Amino acid sequence: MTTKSREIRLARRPVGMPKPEDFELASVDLPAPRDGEVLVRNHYMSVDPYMRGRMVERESYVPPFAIGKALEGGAVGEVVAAGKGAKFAVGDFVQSMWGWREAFISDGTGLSKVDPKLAPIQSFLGALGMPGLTAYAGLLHVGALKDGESVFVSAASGAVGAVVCQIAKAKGCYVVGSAGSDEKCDWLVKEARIDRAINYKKEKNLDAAVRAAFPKGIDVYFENVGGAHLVAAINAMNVRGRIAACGMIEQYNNTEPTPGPWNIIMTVPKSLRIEGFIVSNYFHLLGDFYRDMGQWIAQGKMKWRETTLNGIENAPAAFLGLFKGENFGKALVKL
Amino acid sequence: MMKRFVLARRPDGVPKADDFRLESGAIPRAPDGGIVIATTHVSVDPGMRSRLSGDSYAAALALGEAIESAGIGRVIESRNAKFNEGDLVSGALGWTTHLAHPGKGLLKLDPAFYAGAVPPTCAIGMLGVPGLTSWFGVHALSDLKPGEVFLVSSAAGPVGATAGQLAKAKGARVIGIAGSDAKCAWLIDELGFDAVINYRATPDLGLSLNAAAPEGVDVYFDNVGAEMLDQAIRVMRPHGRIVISGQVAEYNAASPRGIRHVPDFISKRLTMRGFVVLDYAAQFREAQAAMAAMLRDGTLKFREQVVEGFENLPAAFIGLFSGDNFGRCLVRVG
Repeated sequence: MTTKSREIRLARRPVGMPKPEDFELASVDLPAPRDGEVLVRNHYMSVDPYMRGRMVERESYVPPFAIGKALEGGAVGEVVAAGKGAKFAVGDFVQSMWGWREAFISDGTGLSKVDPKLAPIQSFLGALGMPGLTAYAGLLHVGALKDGESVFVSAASGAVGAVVCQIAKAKGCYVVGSAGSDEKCDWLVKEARIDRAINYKKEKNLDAAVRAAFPKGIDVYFENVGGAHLVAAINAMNVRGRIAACGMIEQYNNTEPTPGPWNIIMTVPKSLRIEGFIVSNYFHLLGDFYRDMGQWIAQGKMKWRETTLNGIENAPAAFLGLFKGENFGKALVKL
Repeated sequence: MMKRFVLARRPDGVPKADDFRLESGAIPRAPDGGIVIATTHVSVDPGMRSRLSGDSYAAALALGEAIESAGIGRVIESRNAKFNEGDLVSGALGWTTHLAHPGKGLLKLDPAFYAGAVPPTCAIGMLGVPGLTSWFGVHALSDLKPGEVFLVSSAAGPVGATAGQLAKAKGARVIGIAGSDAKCAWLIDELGFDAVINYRATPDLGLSLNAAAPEGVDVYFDNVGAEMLDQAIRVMRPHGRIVISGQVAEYNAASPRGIRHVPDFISKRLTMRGFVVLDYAAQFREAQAAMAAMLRDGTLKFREQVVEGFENLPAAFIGLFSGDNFGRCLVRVG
């Protein structure tokens, strides 16, 4: 007995902004699981900006995707069949890196169980998953945030940014977030309860807007964007400020390095620290992360939004939407 | 007769002689509880450039004010119990031959300590701001480990040369970037650097860096900024550290260039830190004692270029930006 599974493959390496033609939909037949194996049917898959980096042939912290092969990424699914001696039982919900496909066979390597009673299963791809841990590690460990400091967050309503904002608020900080629509800004102020939100698309002078929002300067900037946001943040940073560089979404599709930030010279008189980081260096914090997030969720201090498209055939569109600022919160595909 | 240079106008780009004005007057008398100092040496540093502009880097010097700088002088009149006539002192004396001083914020140079391999000029060089900048850049910020690769720009300058030697003493492989064959030869032959790049003689700094550091760089000690910083970012290894000590390529720029290769900070998990040496003031004494010991046992060497004559101060300062000077630049006064 075989199971049909549709998947999205990389048709060619995107140049600049990815296009629908860079992807192809294919179908494979999966065999029944053998001893020790499970068949998992994915319920949700994640699309994330970092995947753009893996579409390029270059040395990076993760190997590039191969052309003609299914893409990979976070997914949550349900075990629908299990061979003898398998580590998971039928009905278990598991998290894996086997996204971009409807179903897969696994010997259990890299799979972890998720508890559907703790939160809706798709949360394990967002606030309770890698984006959430990225926010937690970046703000508290890379940014070395202290209670009551001033925090600036770009892409603040995104999967990572929204968690950053609310952790900072839970720590008694003054928090300003930047986002790309009035709707997102409203959500940030009313639901995530940050102090101010800047709609950067409406600001002619982002630098002045950031300075005005921080009369006492910025202690920690959580960087998801790059470009003009980074310049404005450096200008408004306080002495001994920290910049946790998590993403530079503005620059992922550039074919040539873009100018800036021009104001690196300010790192000297302000004794600034700029540190790039990747969540995989912080998996040892998972225990603390689940403990603290559980508490914040229970106290009503942690909210998040999701944008969901339906069907594997729409996964490329969901991914392309990341670079157009069309998504609100965590971008997911329901399978 | 007292002579001093004041800021006549704000420099546009590289400073010119006309930006400074020589003034003269009577030698001042000591105020109540204060002293009069006759300057013997004035320090000339590229970092002073930013205070001449009205930019945001540091509070700007007002027009008509004496140019600020570190210096060494001799007390010629004292109405302060802490100082005797004839004492040598160092501090922010400025571009002046004589000055009345309240006596606070000066370092009295102990003649027993500043002797032999540690001459008094070290108080504003190796054991002053330049040397301390190297010390804390390497020891407090770089997290350098034995066997790592250490790259330094302006490597023959007072900060760069000391940083390279301190890195060598920590067991690193040290690569220097400098602007002449003579400087490069000195770095290899006298200071024991492992590799050097004459950036003026190479058609492609990136290729030269690849050749000098085929496995990449763990720590880049940056005195230059702009393109050179971008090239260094490109060859950094994962978890590399960049220490920003100075940005001499940017000081005269009407619009600073900054850097392009920022996404590398994430993909390679780089850390970049700027600093001002005063952040570490509490640890100065300890660092000075350690560096004096290294000077005496020959682990640390330095080179001074002494320009004779107070009137030559502006020319010596302007010369810093052409890269023609070699070693720590001092002007001997009178």
